[in-house]
Amino acid sequence: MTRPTATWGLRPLGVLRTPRFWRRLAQVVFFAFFVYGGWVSAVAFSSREARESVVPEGSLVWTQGSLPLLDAYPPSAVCRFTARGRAVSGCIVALLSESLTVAASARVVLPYLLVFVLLSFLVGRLWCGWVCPLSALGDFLNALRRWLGRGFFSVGAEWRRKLRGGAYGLFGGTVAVSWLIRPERYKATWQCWLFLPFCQVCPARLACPLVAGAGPTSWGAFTHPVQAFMTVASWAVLGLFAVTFVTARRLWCHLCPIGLATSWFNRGSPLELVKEPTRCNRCGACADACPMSLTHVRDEKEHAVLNSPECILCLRCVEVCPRDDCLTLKFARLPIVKSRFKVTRPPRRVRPRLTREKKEEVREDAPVGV
Amino acid sequence: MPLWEFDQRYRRPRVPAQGARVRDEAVAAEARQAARAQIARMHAGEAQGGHASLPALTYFEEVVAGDGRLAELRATSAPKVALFCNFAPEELVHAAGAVPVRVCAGFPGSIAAAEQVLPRDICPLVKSTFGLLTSGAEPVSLCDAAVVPLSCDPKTKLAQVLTDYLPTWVIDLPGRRDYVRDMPVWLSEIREFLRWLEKLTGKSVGRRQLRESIGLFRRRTEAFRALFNLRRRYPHLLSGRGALLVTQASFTDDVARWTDQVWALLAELEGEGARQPEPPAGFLPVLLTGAPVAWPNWKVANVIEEAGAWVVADTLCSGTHRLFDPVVVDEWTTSGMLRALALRYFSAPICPCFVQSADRMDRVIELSRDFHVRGVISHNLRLCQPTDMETTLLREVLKEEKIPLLVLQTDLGLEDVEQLKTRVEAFLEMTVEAGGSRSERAGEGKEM
Repeated sequence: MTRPTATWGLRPLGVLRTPRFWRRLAQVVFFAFFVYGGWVSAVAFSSREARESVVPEGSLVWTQGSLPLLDAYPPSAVCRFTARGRAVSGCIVALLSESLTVAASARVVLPYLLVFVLLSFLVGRLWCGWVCPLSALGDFLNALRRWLGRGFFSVGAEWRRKLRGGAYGLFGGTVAVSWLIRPERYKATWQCWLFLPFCQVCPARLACPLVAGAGPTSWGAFTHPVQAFMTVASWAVLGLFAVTFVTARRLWCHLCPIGLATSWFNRGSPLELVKEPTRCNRCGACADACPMSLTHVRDEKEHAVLNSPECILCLRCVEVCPRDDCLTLKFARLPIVKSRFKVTRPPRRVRPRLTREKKEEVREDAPVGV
Repeated sequence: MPLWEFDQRYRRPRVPAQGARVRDEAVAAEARQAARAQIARMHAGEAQGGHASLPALTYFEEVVAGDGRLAELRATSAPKVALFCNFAPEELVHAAGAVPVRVCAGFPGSIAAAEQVLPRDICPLVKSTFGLLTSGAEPVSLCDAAVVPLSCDPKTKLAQVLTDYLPTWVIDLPGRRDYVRDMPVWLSEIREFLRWLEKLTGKSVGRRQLRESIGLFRRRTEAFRALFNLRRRYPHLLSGRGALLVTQASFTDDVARWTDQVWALLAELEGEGARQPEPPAGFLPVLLTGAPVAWPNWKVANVIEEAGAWVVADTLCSGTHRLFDPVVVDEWTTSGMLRALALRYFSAPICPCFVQSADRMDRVIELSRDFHVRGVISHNLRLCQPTDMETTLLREVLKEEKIPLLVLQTDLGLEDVEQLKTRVEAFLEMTVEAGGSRSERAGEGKEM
């Protein structure tokens, strides 16, 4: 029989044991890498890549600057429009959208897709919670709200379902529009202003270059009515992005089509959030702390594996869970983090001492028997 | 919006004001005597409990049976609020500058006094507590106001009766625990309770008071958890009654001082654990569940432990489930803290009064596994119908777990002690045989 080990006492460097610390660190590191990482390779475009050749000059989504450090499309909102300094080629939505429009051959696109699928399968939406530079910006806004002591909106299951429907709409709409505006059809007509339709309104296209300190300045392009419409829409969406992150934690992430594409691999991933149902009394601390406002971690009493398409694996629930060993994060069945109620032992000086003499007093005058 | 109030039309003020209450000295003295007798009884059974060998327990004995804490309560000018159940948030009472006193008692001597007002066939715990109030026994008679969470039927009707004696507030507990529909109701109950407290004490509760109060009670929970973890590691160091005593002291005691004393007790227990890391031969751990074992009538715990078993864990609201769960605050805003309080007091006391039984069943299974208990004993206090009605399910669940269950249907009266003793002894004999073979099957060796 193995005895449970003692869990009290001061821990040296206790902060290193919290998932939150590691997550913040990961967010900062990946943000720096994705937004500023490209500065280490200053290989300027000598000629435009074939896949980007259809972009009309002066478009909202005019890519310029240096070549990316890595030619890959990882599963988070890593934007290709940080002109100089982008570390990767872009996000999955940009890849699909572009490939459909330029009718790129499967031989070109498939390797990128396979890498995306592999990365998504490996850790699921951990990409959203720990890597995505756009949501790192959002979390910074959320931290401002917390610091100011303001409350937040929390959405119910009904709204989460609607938002996920919205994400499907954005994803499907992007794919459909990208396919419909293939160059052999539009021949430099107004449709060319719809190239990369989601990128045109994506908040990352404006926000990432803004914080990167260098980028295309397509904040106001009004050459064509369609382009003018998209410009205004992009401002509105950026505003919405800021407002939702300031007032409703990660509400935005329910609507994100990149997160949606990653979420298809969230179930079945070797990274699993596992619950021991007998250890849970449904106190709801997990649901209260969940930045995605998910409730299934609290409610689930039947199944052990809690992976859901909406969970971004930020591990906040594991961190706040007051029941020891109730929630566990496992990778390929190996436990990585377990929930534990932290007990901090007070400094020794406050502990009073008692003597045996007082005890005898109680004993003398008390007769036996109830 | 005015605060909700009791209908005044049928209010019959029986005792005009605090201090002018008719005191029945005999009942009060008898209750004190019973408390001291229970302490003495635990000392007498020290072979089982290791009770007397722990000087730090003296403090807790003093709190529950001595006069020190009562004198403090008498002397303090802060209003004392009597909490009639485990569902009332003590943090709020403390934050409003009042003293929370949990008054649930099991003293049989005051039932006769209570039955002048209350009927015979209701929960004896409610009658006992009420009887102590009407006969002026401390600490309940020291209280300036009463708070009754509407957890079960007798509590619901007790509230109206209490209005004749004390300013009373009720907190309506949704029985269904639906987080979408009932949680907003419960949260508004908590908010209204806080507003009533502010009116009572005349102090306004802001973010700072709430934060300090929650922090203070969290340190109490941490100390209790440390004790719980230590009992899990060394289940033979502290008897079940010793642990119940520690919890019982927290009913009335000053929170910070109680916390310090628990750490002192822990220091001692760790020393003991180093000297004696393994349970003695014939160690027989059992789990106690069901209705609360209320001070000073620990008949059931006495009978079990004097028969040679150890109550290593319990799911009682007068035991582990009073202090086990912390208030988990995600955001330290006023609304965030109130939400955290609401969540904690909604879920932590796994009372059978809720519609769903799953959480209590799960807890029993979890503790049975963690503490490697040989048997489960359910304390079915007579006329506690919610506990009774869950017993069938409990029996079936434990059958699947292959853990024997003993149901003790009993009153607060002492006439059935011998009968209980016989039943418990027979049960323990059976579990020794069954448990021995069970642990061998599981390949756990003879350690437990």
